[in-house]
Amino acid sequence: MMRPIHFVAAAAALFLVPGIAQAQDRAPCGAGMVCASDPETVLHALEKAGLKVTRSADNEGDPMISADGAAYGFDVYFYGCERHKHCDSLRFQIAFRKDGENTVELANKWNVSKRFIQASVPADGRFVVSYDVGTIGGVNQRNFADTVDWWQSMLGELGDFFQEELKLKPKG
Amino acid sequence: MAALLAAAAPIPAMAQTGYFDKPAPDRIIDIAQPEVVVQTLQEEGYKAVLNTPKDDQPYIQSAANGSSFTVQFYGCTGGKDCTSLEFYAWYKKTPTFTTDFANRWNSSKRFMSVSIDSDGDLALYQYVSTTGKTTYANFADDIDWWSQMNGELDKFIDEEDAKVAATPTAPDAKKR
Repeated sequence: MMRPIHFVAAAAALFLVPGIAQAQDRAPCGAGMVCASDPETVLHALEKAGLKVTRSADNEGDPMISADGAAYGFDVYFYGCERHKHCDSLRFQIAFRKDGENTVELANKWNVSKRFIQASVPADGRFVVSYDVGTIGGVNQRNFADTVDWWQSMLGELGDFFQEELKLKPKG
Repeated sequence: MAALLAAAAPIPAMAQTGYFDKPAPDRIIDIAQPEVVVQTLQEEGYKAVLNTPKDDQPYIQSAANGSSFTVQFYGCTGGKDCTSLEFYAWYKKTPTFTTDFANRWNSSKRFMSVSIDSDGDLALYQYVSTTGKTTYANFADDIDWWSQMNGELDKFIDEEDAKVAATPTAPDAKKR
């Protein structure tokens, strides 16, 4: 069964983009914009999308937001930060527990046929789905809301995909 | 992302011209319109040619790091007012391109994803919502991520090729 690991996924999210220097966004977040450099703007935009959100910090002390979504709860990580501030991008992510069903072939099948969100099976055997958003220059509310909408609707498709591919019994 | 150029292969325009030499980076642009995306790619130093097939969604032919790529639009009405776009390229099948290879990339890199399609070719893609307009600086950052990660992928492939002693074929834009 695909069970998400909520709040526990931070560790793996931090090893990405090795070999590239971290960037920061030092510009002030424009009025009405959503910016990783101003985590409250992200929090409020997620709330506006109807999600129940909790702000915390990941293992490195960078900002992190956990959200309860329609299909699955998910986490939003902040990247490209400098001393936990001036972050330049976001990563929406869910990690599902290690399971024999979490195969590289299953992830590739998703990636070939579905848009926006990416699936992978890191070395620790979890099944991870994610979507990255750059916020340099600011993202306006409508565009950010549409990205959240894409993320949530693709998570809904992910549930169907699991049921179909893994022959799970329908919910409820 | 603009500051990440230290690690990059030579990329036209971005490092030298920066945001400061251009019209306001905080100006709002409507990337739901393919011609605005063409203009922005060109301002960022890329070639960009718009194609609007009669019975299909518009796409732009462009190139980064000497490799061609396309920007495919989705959800358009009459070739305009598109709801999303996809940066896309592909590399012809080689012994390097296995689902394990694609998965190693996907589990360690951001923004650009890869997959092995039914022909065994490697597909590269990055999706962006075009709804509600955005700032010039934000879309320039998307282009920058795509370009940077293309460069990263080339290095990643070279490392894998060294292991399997295979040579990738130069990529060529194609539609999925």
